[in-house]
Amino acid sequence: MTDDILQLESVTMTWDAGEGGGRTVLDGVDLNLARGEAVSLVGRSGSGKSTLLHVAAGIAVPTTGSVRLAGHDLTASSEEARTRLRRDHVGLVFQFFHLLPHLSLRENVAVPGWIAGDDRARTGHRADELLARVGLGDRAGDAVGKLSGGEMQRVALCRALLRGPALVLADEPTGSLDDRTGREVMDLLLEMTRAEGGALLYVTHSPELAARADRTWRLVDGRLLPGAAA
Amino acid sequence: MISYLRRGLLQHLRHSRTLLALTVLGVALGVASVVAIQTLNQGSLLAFDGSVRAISGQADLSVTGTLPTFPESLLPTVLGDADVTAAWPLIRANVAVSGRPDLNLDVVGFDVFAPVRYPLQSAAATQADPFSSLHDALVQPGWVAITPELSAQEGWKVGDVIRVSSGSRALELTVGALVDFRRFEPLAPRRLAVMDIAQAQEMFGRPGRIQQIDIVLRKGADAPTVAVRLQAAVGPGVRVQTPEQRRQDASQLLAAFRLNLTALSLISVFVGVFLVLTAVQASLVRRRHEFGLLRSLGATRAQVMGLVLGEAAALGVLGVVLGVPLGWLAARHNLQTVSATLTSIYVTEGIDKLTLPPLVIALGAAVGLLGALGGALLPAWDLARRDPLRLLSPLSVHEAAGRAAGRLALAAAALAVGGSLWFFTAGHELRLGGFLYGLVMLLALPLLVPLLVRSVCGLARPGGFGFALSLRNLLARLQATGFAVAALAITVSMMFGITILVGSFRQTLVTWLDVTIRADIYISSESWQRTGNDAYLDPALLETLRSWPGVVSLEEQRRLRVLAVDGRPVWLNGLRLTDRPLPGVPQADMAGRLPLMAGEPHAAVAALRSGSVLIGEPLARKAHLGVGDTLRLAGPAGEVALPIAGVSYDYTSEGGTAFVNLDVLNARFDAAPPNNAALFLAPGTDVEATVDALKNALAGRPLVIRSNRTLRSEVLAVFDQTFAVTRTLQAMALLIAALGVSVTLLIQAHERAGELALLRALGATRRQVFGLFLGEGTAMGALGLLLGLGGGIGLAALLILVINRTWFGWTIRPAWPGATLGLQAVVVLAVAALAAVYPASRARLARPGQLTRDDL
Amino acid sequence: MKRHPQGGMMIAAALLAAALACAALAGGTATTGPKPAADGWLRAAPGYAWSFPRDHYAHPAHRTEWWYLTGHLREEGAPADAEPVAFQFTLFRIGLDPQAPPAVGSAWRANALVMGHAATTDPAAGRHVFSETLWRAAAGLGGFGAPGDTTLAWCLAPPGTPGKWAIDLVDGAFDVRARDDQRGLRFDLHCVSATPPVLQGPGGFSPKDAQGDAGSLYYSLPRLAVTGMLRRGDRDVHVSGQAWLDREVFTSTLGPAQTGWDWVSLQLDDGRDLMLYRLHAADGRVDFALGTITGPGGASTSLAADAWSLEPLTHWTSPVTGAAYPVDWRLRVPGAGIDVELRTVLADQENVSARTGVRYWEGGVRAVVPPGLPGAGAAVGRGFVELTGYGAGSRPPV
Repeated sequence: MTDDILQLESVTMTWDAGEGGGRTVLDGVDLNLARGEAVSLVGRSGSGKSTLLHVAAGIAVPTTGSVRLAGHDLTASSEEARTRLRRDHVGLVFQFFHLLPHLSLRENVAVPGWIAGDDRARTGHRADELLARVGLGDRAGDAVGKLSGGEMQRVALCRALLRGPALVLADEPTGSLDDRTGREVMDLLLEMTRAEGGALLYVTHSPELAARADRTWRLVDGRLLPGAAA
Repeated sequence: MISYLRRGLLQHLRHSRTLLALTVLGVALGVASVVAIQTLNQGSLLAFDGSVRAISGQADLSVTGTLPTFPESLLPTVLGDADVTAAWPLIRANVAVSGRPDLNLDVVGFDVFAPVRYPLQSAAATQADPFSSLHDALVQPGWVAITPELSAQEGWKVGDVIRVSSGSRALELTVGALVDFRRFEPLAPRRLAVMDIAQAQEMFGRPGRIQQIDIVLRKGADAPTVAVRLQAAVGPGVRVQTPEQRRQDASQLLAAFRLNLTALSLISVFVGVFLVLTAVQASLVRRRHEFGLLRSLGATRAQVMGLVLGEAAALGVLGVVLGVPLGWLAARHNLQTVSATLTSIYVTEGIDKLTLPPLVIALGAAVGLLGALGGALLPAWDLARRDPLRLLSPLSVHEAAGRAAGRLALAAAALAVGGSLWFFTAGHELRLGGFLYGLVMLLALPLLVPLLVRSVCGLARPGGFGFALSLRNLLARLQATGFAVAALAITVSMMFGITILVGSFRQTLVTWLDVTIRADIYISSESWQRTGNDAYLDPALLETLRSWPGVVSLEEQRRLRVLAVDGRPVWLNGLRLTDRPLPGVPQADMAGRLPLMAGEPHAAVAALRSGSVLIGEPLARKAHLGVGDTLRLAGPAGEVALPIAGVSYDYTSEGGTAFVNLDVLNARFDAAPPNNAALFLAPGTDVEATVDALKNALAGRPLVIRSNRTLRSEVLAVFDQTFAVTRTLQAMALLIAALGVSVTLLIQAHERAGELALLRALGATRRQVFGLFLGEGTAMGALGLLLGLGGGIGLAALLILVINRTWFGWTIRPAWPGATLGLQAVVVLAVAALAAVYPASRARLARPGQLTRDDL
Repeated sequence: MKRHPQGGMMIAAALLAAALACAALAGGTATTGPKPAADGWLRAAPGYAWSFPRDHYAHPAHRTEWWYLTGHLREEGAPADAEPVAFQFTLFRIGLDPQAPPAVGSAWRANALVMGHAATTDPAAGRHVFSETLWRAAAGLGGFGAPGDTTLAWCLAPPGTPGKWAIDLVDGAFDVRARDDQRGLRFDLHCVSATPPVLQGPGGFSPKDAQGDAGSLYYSLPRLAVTGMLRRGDRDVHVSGQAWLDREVFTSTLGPAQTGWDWVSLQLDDGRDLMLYRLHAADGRVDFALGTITGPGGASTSLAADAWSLEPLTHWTSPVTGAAYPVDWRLRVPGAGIDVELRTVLADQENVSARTGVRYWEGGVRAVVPPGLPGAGAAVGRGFVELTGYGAGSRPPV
């Protein structure tokens, strides 16, 4: 199973009493995500989708069970180590883009490179290249404030892919976009992740978009069920 | 709305205790620095008042001499005036307590049988003979009454002997009673002591001469009218003054000193107000969202504005409540040094008790409240007028500030140009002109901050997760960072300005000492101070010194306070001029020791010999006198006019100093032995060994024997002490500015939680986030430093070239105390970085999973 | 003295009280010879060798003495039945130290105080004016002459008034002057005595108690012819009349239990002069009494306590001090055929000293034939009554 970029075994996540009255959000989840594979994740609101992504990214630590990211056991790692693993292996795309308003497009894309301490010239170059690929190459120096939602998500996509992560996690990447723009962004997400050789796990409410993955998983009350085949 | 305000504030208190504490502390420090300085400032005058009231509280008029003493035979003339109901003589002497280098007693000799209200209490008070002390006052040798406070402090009880000295004479006083001046005058100095005039005159004075006559007038008599009539009756050798006139004289004497402190406190007010602004601003920016919500729920603009101002006022009140006691403590902490400065330079009355005058409390409250309200006004107006939905966009406020940067900088330029035009055409003629000019320039400084931040931070091209990103983040929050940087810039301006001034002054003084302090050994008495006219050196002692092995020349000096005919006090220094040059002792040549700024040294010495006078620079500047003019002084029998042969640099007094031949002083004013002597030794004589030998031979005598080197270092020590209080102010201002940095960043840590969560999600470690904030604090420090450097140099130029000349009249050669400035710069950066530590440690706790829709 | 009027007064009063206390304590151990007691002061004692004019001058070896002049003056040109103005002039020497002060260093060195009391009573105007001075006898403020000097005693006038108060001895006559412009008191009088001094008590020692421990050296010039000027209201007028000069020199007079005295001087129209005094305790009980009657020729006889009687007739209560003074008296000296009423010329002749707190009644009286006797109401002489120790806590400082 060394080809799996992400492995979850019997992952259970229970919010303790203080934060949700002892609610079990993930209940014995087992999953394997192979390198280069694209999987969609569907489920109703509150079914634990976001939590599953957080666990996968090492942002949250499951109550029980184990999580392996690129061969490293996240559950046994320190916060610092999980952060580094996330930095080096995971690209994140959010529903609300989360771009830094005081930075330019290029700078927003470059932030993960800065954090990692990568060579600044190469990072800049790579950011420009990615932005060009999403059709924003001529606006790399602009402030992000003037962008449309779709453009913002494309920038966010570039940011997620900057360091060529082995795993891209996207939480409803089209949730804030209209259908047409959503499809365009989804096209770019799938295409570019694949081109970069990374695996993709994305959450969506749209059956149409879910169907574009290699596989689909469904979360029902914290349990992972195999969904419609690709 | 009121209940909302109350709830809001409580909420605030509960949820951001640290922030609130820092904000209030900032207001409090601003208030405290004002209260501290003004308390000390008032204290200096109140100390003089307290002393005057304790001794002369009953008097409607006082007669004092144009010279320190005048004939006692004037008393019957005064008593004979139709409106006088009582009048009594006083003798004043400042005596040193042996073995207590810092303790001088202010001895007042009074007529114990005059109707003077001195609250004497003797130990025998409870016995059948309640006031036998009065009998003893005449009969018991050295009978003196001391204050209960001094008695407690020194453990001196009735019957104890106090060894004191006046000039070179050692004397014994016996505590015969206590005199509880504070029963009537709470600010009476503890060092006051009273004794019968007969003994005081014998021990410390001269036969037939007194220092003062206090007069009580008949009810309904008009004191100024009687003063004029009495003045005509007693003649030109004395002045008849009301207590108010005496107070004015004293306040003039202290004017420059007080101004010094006031100017400093003004700067701390400025910085304090800035901190309040920063704190309130920051707190409002933080709660922008809440106000936006209130507005969309239907709150009117006036209501929102009222809410904001109400909160600011509450912060102001808390700050005042904390700041006033804090200021009081700071004032007490600095009491010693300020008091020492007062007594070593200005008057004999040191401050040994402080009060907190209501006016000072009011001033502190005004600074705290108006600062808080003023700080809230602009943002409140801004919030109230804004579209409620726009309030939900976090960076709009900062963008507005960024857009205004150019306009603000233009306004700064306009202020600077306008201020300069005004000052150089008209303002420089006003006594306060220099201060107003400085104030305008300081006002202009913060207006430059947005532009500076924009241009400097705009240059930052972040290529990594480092300082450049910190700079860029500052730029993004211009509104918030602007205030913190401005406060820092003002503080640094003050710090550097004063450091340059003090450094330049010190360097000038050292150069001047090199020229003037040329004798090998200096001898004065323990009781001799600048005010110590009554401290004489015994002629026999002078003979001993003159014939001491190795001594080739002894120079006598006497210092006498006289009045110019315009009422200006002048310190007249009488020098004994040697007739012939001393072979082998070139440093004794008087011409070589005159730091003349106008006149020719050899001609000046010749003129001194023939009765001319040299005047010090401050006197020349203030009285508009120069070579060829005449110095008109009030002599014992009318005007004494002395031709001015030269003007010399002089840093011994900011009032008037003049130098004459000692014979002229004795003949035309008041003959008495000298106060000081300077010894020139034969070439090759070991100075320190001679000093030791003299000390051994004269052990037990109340003399101060100092080598050239010691004297010089002591002069510089007094100088340093004079400016010691500025260090506290500098530290306080820096602390305030640092709080500004803390508050700003703490709020940012909260406000930018989303950004931080994102960075953490993108893989930034906690340490990296911590570093980012530390970098932002340091960046603020650096920006403040940059702007403050310019401001400091400007302020120093103003202080040295304008304010000092106007108020002190000294020539100070500008110098660049590079090492001190460098050290201070490092301190500023370090303090800014330290101020960022707590906010940074809060920021690092941002959780990567916390991103919500509203973030960023 | 504006804010705390008690200040100066307290000081002087205290000093006097101190002197008094010492006197009282020393009273019981007085020596009889001309040797100073342990406190350094010489005690008044019998057998004193009088010598005039030397004894008109100060006696610095004793603690206290006074020059005490009282009299009645008629304005020149006034109708014969007009009431004369009564006056009092006293200079006290209050010794502080029996040693003479060293003559070096300070003119303020003093071994005595000089205190002046002056009063005029103008019955026509119903006005009694009192003025006082208190200075140290030094530094141009006050002093005492030595035998041969013109001045016997002097001091500065009270503040607000130029010049001095003094009693001079010029060619055997006494010149006295006092002035207080703020209170409207002034006189300048020339007093000539036709008779030699009358020694009061045996040999001029006037005992103040039965044991003879306390007492004073005491003489009087009972008939001085006075001419001079006096301020009456706002006028300075020429006056003439009669005065009585008392001189007492002592270190201790009142015994411990004694709190005051009644003293009477009377110049009878028949040429006889009478001096009487009696000392009383706090309860008013008379402790000791003595008197002297002097004939027109100058021969004087002592009057023992049982040879005369003095009964109060009318009391007057001071609105200022609350003290009730007997101001009219019935005086009987049966052995001398004297039975008169002493009627005060004005009830309020109380002197209240602001400087020392001392208060006493010192007033001019007329002697008239009592009702029921032949010629009742006829004037037979004039005199002065001095009452001390009346009112709570009032004990004269001697």
